[in-house]
Amino acid sequence: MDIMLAAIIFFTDFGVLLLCQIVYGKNEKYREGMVFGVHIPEDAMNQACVQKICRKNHKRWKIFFWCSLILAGLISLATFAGMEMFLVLLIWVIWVFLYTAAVYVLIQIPHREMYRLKLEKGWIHEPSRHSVYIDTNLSKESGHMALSWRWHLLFLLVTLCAGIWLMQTFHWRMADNVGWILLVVTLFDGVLFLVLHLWIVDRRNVVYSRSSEVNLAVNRAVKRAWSLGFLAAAGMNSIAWIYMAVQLAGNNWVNTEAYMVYAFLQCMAAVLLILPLLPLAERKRKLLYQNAETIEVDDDEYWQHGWYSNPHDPKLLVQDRLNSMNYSFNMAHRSARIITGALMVLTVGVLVWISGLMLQLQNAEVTFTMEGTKAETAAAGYSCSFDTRDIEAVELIAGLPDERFVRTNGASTDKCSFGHFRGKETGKCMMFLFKGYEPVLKITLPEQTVYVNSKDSAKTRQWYEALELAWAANRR
Amino acid sequence: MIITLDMNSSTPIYVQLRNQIVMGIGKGMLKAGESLPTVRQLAQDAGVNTMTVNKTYQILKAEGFIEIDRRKGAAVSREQKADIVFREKLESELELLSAEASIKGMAKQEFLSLCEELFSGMNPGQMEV
Repeated sequence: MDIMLAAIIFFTDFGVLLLCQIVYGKNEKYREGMVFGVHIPEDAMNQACVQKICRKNHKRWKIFFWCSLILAGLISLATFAGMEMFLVLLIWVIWVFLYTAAVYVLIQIPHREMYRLKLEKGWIHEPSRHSVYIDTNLSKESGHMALSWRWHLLFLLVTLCAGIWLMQTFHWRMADNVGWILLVVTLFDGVLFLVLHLWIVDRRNVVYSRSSEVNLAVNRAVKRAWSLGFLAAAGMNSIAWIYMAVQLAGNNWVNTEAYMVYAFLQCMAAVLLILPLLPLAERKRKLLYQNAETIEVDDDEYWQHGWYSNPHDPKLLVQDRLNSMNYSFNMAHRSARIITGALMVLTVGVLVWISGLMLQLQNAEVTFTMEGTKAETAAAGYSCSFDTRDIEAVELIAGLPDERFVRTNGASTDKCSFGHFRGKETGKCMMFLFKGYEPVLKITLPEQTVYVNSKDSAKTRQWYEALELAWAANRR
Repeated sequence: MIITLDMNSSTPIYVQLRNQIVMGIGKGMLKAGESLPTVRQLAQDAGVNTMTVNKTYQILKAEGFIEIDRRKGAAVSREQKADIVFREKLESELELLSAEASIKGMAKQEFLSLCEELFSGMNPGQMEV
């Protein structure tokens, strides 16, 4: 568990660091008439003041990358130092927050320095400051650039058909909602990809040149790549669901391996989404490199604070300056400010909530109460109430049966298991268990089995005796 | 053709758009019969309301520069006629321009040669697309 957690933390962090380094660590390069997201003349790149900002930025990112990597390594190693999982995750979340904030600051520093320098030097392209360019040939062809969105309907239909087929099979196991949840999630993802595809088709075309051929080629390449990514991801999403549907119908059970294959297929969907976008930047650069009739659009004043704020632009979302795969809100609109604020509150809220849950899990105690014929056992927000007259069997066992249990709605750490589970032989069950503590109280109810124990074995025996008595009385 | 709109100009967007399309037709960048982008797409690319583009297209249609077909959309008119209404409009605009030029001290010959120079730059595409 420690090794697994350490590996997950380290490789996630390493991936994030590498991506940020690739995307933002090379901002000192002159691309599309810009450096650090600020338009300046190309010959100005040779000036000492510009070079100084570029060198400082390069050095800053290099130091930042190595420091962050060392910190990420130390956090992942903390799992071996006997630190509680809750604390490791809390430190990791704080690290992610600080890292994100630091990346933002590192992007802003050279951007603002360069914008100040631009104003000082008067590198402002006055004619294009408030101009909008439209290529009529490009606008006419707009609807034919991306791949057809109708392919998504096929994927959605296949997903739905697999769901209907599964519903009609004898082995359909909807009791734990696994099938429903997966079907709904797959359909939701499919619809989301369709909406994103339509959004890309509808996206505003960008005029790079006075030549319509260049504009068409670049915009077509961008829309094709994005639409291909969405189609490939939607297709893989459907394949992942079909695989799970076959597992559910054929084996009457979804084991951990099947979940892992499902997770792998969903990861592949994410990879397929990104794959067509990777060569895009290079292709765009090559197409624009041959372009002698570049159109300069100096809208830097709308980006001067590091975010986009243009009251003349009705668009809520615009392509990001520093990462063309990213989108930025137009902060001049009230709705953009509200959405950003809500997203921030939601993010912090979810993190606080999860931390609360983890803390609750950390200090959880199993309780057992009996009042008349009503009995209830509870732990960490999960509870199970039943009538003692419904008990089919009650026994004390040394430990859980030697079979595979899958968590359906619950929490499980290396120390405890609380909530809803499903055993391969036992079927639907609930657990209120501390791992490594004996004995375990097994209560068989008509619809499910309940496993309960306490850290204090005497207490578990006491609960068993109380239940045994009630059960025996009911049998008489 | 490339249309340039100045978002800070005191000239309304629909007028700028109308003028640019007329210039495009006049200079031969938009040929007779050539289709124009849909109202929705043009509005999308210009970052303006569809009503603005719609207004431009209606004005251009009323002036006879474009034709609008319910199925095929907007296209540059195949036949451009200088009717009486147009001549009257042209006369009044030229009169105003002549007045402005004469007030500013421009000689008649200078004004005429400027008109000639600009007019010779026009090449309305007669070739149908």
